[in-house]
Amino acid sequence: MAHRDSRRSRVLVAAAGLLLCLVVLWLRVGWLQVVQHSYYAGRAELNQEQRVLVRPVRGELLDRRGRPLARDLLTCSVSAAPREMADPAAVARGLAALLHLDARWLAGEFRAHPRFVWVARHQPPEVGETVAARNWRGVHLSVETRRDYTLGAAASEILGRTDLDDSGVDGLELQLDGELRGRPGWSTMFRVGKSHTVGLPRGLNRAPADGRSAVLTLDLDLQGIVEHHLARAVDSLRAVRGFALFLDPRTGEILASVCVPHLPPGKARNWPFTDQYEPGSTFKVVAAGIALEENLARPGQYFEAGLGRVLVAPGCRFADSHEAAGFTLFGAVQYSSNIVMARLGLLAGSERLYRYATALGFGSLTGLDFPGEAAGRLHSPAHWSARSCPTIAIGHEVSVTPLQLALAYAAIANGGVLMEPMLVREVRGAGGGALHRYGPRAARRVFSEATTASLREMLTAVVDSGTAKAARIPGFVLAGKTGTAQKFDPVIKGYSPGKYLSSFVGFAPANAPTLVGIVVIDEPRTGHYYGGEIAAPVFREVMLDLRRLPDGPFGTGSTEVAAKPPVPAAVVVPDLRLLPQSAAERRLAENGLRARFEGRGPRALAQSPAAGQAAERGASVTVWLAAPAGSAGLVQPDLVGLPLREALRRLTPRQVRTRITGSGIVVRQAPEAGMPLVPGSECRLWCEPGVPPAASPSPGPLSVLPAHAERANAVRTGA
Amino acid sequence: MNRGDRWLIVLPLLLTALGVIMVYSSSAILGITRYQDPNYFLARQVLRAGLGVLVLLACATQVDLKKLERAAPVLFGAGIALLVAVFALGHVSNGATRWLRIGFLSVQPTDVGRLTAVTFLAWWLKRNPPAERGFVRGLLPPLGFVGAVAGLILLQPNLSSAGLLGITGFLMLFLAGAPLLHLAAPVAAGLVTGVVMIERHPYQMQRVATFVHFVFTGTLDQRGAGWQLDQSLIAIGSGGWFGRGLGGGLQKYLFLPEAHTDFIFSILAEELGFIGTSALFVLLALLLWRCMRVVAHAADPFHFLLAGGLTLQIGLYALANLAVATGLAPTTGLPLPFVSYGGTALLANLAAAGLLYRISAMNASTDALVRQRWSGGRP
Repeated sequence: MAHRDSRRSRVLVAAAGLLLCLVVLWLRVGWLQVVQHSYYAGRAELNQEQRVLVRPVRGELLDRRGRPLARDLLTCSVSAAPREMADPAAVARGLAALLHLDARWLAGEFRAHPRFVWVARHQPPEVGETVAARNWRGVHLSVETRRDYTLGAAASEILGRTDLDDSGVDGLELQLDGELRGRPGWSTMFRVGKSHTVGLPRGLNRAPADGRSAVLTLDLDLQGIVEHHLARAVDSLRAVRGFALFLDPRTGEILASVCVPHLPPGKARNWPFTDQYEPGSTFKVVAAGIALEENLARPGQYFEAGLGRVLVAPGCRFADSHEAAGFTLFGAVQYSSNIVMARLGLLAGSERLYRYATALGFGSLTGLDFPGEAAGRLHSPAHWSARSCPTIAIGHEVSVTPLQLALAYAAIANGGVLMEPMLVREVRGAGGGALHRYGPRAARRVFSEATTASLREMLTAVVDSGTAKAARIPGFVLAGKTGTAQKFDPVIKGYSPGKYLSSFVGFAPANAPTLVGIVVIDEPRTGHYYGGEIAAPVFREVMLDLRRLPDGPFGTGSTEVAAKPPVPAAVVVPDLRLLPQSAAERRLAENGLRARFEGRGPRALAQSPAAGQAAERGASVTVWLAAPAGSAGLVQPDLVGLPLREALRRLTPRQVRTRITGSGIVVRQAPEAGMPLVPGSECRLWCEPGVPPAASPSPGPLSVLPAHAERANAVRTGA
Repeated sequence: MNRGDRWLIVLPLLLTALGVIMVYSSSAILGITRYQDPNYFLARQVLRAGLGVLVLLACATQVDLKKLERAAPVLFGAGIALLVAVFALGHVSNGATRWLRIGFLSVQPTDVGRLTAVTFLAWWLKRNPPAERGFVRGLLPPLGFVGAVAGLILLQPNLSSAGLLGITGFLMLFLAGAPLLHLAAPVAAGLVTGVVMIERHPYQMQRVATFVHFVFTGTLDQRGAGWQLDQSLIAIGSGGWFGRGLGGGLQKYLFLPEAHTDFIFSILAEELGFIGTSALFVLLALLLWRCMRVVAHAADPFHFLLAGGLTLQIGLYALANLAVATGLAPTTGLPLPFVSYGGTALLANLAAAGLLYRISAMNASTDALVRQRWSGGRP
């Protein structure tokens, strides 16, 4: 039957149509769910604009005995959404009673801001708990943290600060940020309209991992004491600023680092690490140490001092404040004789002076990793002039940081071993268990026990009857050295009269030192400026306070320290002469020594220490590289760091055209030093104005020195 | 009396059960935010599903198709009356008047109207086969009836339901054997009506514009009109092969509006993955196949057309809902039959399934009669 067949085919068409559409939709769903899954999974993740970050609690900074120096305090802030409340007036009365607010005022606030109003911010957590217990509808609590510093500003420079996002911006907060920060968690919140968010009941959140805590080497008591006395001294002397650093000579642990005045965050720097200055007389122990260690002089050996004014070397006239015909070496340290020390510098020679100064850590970073730490300045002997040896011996032409100087004195105090400085003793997990412990580490032995014993005696005499008598404490033997440096004034481009940097470095007790400290006062303006009159009394006050402290470094428990680390065994320095650079480096590495190359060239021409000498394992050997004789004129010299005039003088025989950008000191050159040089080619020099490096020859003899031994040329403070 | 096709009972009940589960999963959060009760929507849907099962069983066993056929014009009148009443007494929601409150239940007259319209159309087309009456007498009157009901629905305004009813009526004419040439006219008329409606209602215009933009560029305005579709696609796409697990979906957290009604498929896809959606498609395909089988086997023209109309209603709603959720059609508010939250639609669909079962039972008895006749006088 035709009608029936037509009906059947039409049903078939309808059924096929429906099922076909269904198949198409099924394919579409498959496309979305299987092929495009990763795209849409990402989009689903992006819906997390409603994701709320849960901040971790930042780790604590603890002092060496576990007392908190910086910690996160939990605070509770109470806010209200009066619109959500059944009876805002009643809630206002209840809240006002709990939080000690004016009920009428609060009710008015509720009426004025029906959507949201802060009721009280940064309340203690207990207040938050009591508010939460009342379970008012429309009253919300938010937990916030606030960084609290136990010592306030007194330790702000060394500890640093955190920013609004709770991450460290300077100081130890920045250096240890990776440990302290922790890992933020999140929870998923959904916003409906503007007024309320809904927290996801469970799942879909990650708990924050709180930051680790760091046990520092700092001592809370000492930091406070030093800050107190330093601030008083800076105030009463109307000085520009002052800074001080105390450390344990046996371990290299830094116990206190103080700066006064306390600049606002962002401008504050921890000057004991970041500032370099010409140390002046405090540096004289280096020359004295070399003389004793290398058997150049005995403590009792007599040196001419020419009644205060002597031409030590051609063109170098030095002056003493303590006018005498001569000093023994002992007396020269005690009365800080420039003339004798300059002579010792000449006696030691540039190679030894440089070797011992670098061995004591001058001119390089200490490895503390502190943000902004300065390296100081000590040029290699290649850049030295005839005047350099005597000048460096009395602490000029070098810049040091207080940290470097304190570590050098620590080496003298502990028997001759240079320690690596330490700021962190232990890193603790959020639960309180120790994750890493750090022990003291010796860098190298610099002086023998006998040398340091002699030096300690001399430094004891300095306090007892020398230039630092102001630091003397009856019944307690201190040792130390004073320094007074005239400041360099960039405006008049010379040492400015009447501006001084007075310093004192000392240790105590003198026979078995447990504490080394350096105090620097910048620009005292009361007429006095000798380090012995200005800085030494601060040290004395600190010592007096420390002795009164029952569990201080001079108390009964002070002798227990971590075992002194073993001094590395000595090795014999191999002969490196005429070896290529790579071979020299390899041979040194085989002997456990480090290489330090100077100059450019294919082969080693000289070395220090000399072949066959004993050196501590891990010490560095300086190797001077040079081109083979005869080709010297064809190699680009190293001009960086030289004044432009000197650079041009050295380029003249090489017959190159020069192109100069800027003026002052050469900061960059092209081609690089050591590159072959074709006569007639072009040499570019980039210069910047600045203070010429101390080692560079400058016109005129350095003959007119101030009339006092303590006073010296100085000082570039800051860059 | 012979037994009908039991698939027609089992499949709707399976879909309804799945629906109850998905309604709970997708509405708990909304229930908390709106009514402080995660079970608010679940409780209502369970109540309706229970009622629906009774309706299904009643339709499947108690309804006398002969009486139904006789009552068709009266029912049609009642449906029209309800649709008119909605204007006088109805609730306004989402820019449209769609609800009528009767006792404790809100009734959507649309669902009642569309069922009575299908029944009446089957009744009319049995008596006036379009192939025999020509264009004017065979085609225009049924189109007029459907047009009247669709027009009332349209005025709510509910363009999508009206459109689906129009398409159902049109396809019933096709099934009834109307000449293909005659059928071209209503297609044109439907298009014109659709365009005019879209032009007159800004929110529909906007949705269509969004859809056209999406079709041609593949991008959505994620903040404005495209928000719902975009969130739906994110839900479906992020489901992957196995989904986030039942109850583990995220899009229902107020990202996707209407997650428990029009976009319940998206939540199902997100939580059960492609495996789950494929299972749903298999259930739907099985159901439509069994339904079409009933249509094909129906002996009586009224049974044939009624079964065809009911099948088309279920099938078209399912297809349209899925197309909207997957971005193949402009966003409209159509429920997924048996699965979506909603009382009247669920009851109407379960009643339709019951009637289809009833018709399949009648088919079986007719087939048995035929077989008996052919096997001759063998004992």
